[in-house]
Amino acid sequence: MHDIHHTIDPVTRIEGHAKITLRLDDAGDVADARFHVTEFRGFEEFCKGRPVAEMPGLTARTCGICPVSHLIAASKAGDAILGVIPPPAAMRQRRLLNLGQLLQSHSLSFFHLSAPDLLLGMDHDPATRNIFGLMQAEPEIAKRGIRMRQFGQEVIRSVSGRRVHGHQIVPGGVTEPFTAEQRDVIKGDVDEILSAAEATLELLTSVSDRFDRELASFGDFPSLYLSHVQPDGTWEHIDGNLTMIDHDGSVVLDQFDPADYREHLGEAGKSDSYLKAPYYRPRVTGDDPRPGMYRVGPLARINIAERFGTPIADQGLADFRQRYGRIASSAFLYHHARVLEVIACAERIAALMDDPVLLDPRVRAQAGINANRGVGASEAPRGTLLHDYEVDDDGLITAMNLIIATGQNDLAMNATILSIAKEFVDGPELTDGMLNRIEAGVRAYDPCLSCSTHAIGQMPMKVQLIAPDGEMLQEVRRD
Amino acid sequence: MLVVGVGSLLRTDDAVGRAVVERVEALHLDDVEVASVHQLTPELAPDLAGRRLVVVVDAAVDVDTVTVSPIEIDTSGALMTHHLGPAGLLSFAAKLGWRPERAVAVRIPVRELEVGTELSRQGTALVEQALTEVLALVR
Repeated sequence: MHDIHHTIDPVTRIEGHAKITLRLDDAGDVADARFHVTEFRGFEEFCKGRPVAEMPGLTARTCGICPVSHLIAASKAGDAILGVIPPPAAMRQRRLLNLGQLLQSHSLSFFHLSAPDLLLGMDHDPATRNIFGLMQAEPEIAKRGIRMRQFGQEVIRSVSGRRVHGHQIVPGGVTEPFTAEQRDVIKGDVDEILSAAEATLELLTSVSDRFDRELASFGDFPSLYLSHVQPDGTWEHIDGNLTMIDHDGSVVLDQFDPADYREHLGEAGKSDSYLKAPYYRPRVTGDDPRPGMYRVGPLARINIAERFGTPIADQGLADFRQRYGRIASSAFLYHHARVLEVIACAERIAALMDDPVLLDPRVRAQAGINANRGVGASEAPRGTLLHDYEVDDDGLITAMNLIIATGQNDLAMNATILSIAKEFVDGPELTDGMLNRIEAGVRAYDPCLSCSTHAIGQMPMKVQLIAPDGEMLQEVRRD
Repeated sequence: MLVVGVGSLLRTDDAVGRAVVERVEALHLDDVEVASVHQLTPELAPDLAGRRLVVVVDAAVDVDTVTVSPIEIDTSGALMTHHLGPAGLLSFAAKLGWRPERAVAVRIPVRELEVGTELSRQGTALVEQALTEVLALVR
């Protein structure tokens, strides 16, 4: 087979569009698939020389959808550099913040981006296969999604000061105590949101039988999984250590300190994408990182955790495992995992509202620079997020490494696209149904680029079909 | 009534709408709530439901004076969840039964949109003009 090199279009580089290439073998079957991310952000470079205290505010600008995740990871890295443990009330505020973030982001992913696929159908007209088409067909479901996302954003605003790019999360804790009035607003709404989340799980379960072929072909392959989890096996999203398991559930790495990630995780650069591809280092011996592929995010978290630790989510998890097994391997099941996490988030937010420590006015530990390196980690909606900072004695950043969830899923997304293409591409012509499924397969991972470049329900995307001799047989572009 | 100020706080005069809303909020007017947002999003739609009046205050590069005009429902179908304008937001709300009785846009002409957290002198002056228009609507 010929070696094919692709040039990334500079226009798509600027606009952040994704590009996918499918390479055919001599028999005309799909031999390989590549997912190219053409954005370059440069945060790891231009943050150098800035004070560590600025990192929550600066790195939160990485994304308009999940700035909260960067706020938290950056603040935790700052905690490590200051050498402090934030006061208990601050820890609870951050926990509440991340729950709000998971809830709102998952609601966006499910209702705005994926529900059109799931409720209107994969072969539905792309012109109306979006949130607006859903509004026409299922207005009450669309309203539910908007209301759930609105609630999550209100939680975020109450803790961080703004719905987007909050400013109250800092190294050492948070800047403002949480008030009884804020608590009462959230407490007044959370039961409605929990009910809505339960109804969403029922809805998803009711339509799942329609997607057996997608379930089998959307990235249903063995892989490693990585996430935070509590030592007793309870689901965790912000504190503690990381665990990696294999496809059969066996533990590969048990409760390792995120600061030690370099011992376990490598990062492969790619000539055809700005997205780094992290991999599990011991399984990679050559240049190909794919043997070290692992997945992060909701599916990884529920595969690794034994339980959510809240009753309704745990019942949902038990039902899920009865249907799909203890370790669920199809990427299509990210949707279920997301909805289960929304339920868990609502339950945990409700529990936090009854925790008097949340209102304690001591919320920030003050200190100077006590370490020259700090790593902060949390579970972003899309998976484990790591911020690794090195600073000089004045606290100015000298080196920075960000490991983003979407990057960690890069190898799996490529493999998923390949599995979908193998199932649905038949012959040298790309059909709309095939494009829809590629979109949906990528979207199952809810990558950040899908959110940041997303227009209605359709991801700006270019798919190229490449013959064995390198000839481009067909290019389909969606702007 | 609800007054919504829209704009980036990091793009100088793009924030004029939010500056207007800040001034309105400081007046503590009866029956007037405010929202200050970076951009319009679908999540604002429920907040429009049943309002006697919704005023959206935003910077604009295609007007020469402070302009007050009714917001019409966008029937083009070209709605974008990440780029909602006032008409798109109103359409979104209307489709889901959250339409207000009346919706008005106050558009403020701006020219300086460089990176920065301070309004220009011209932008500051226009905030005063726009505030007068908004108060005439809500009082």
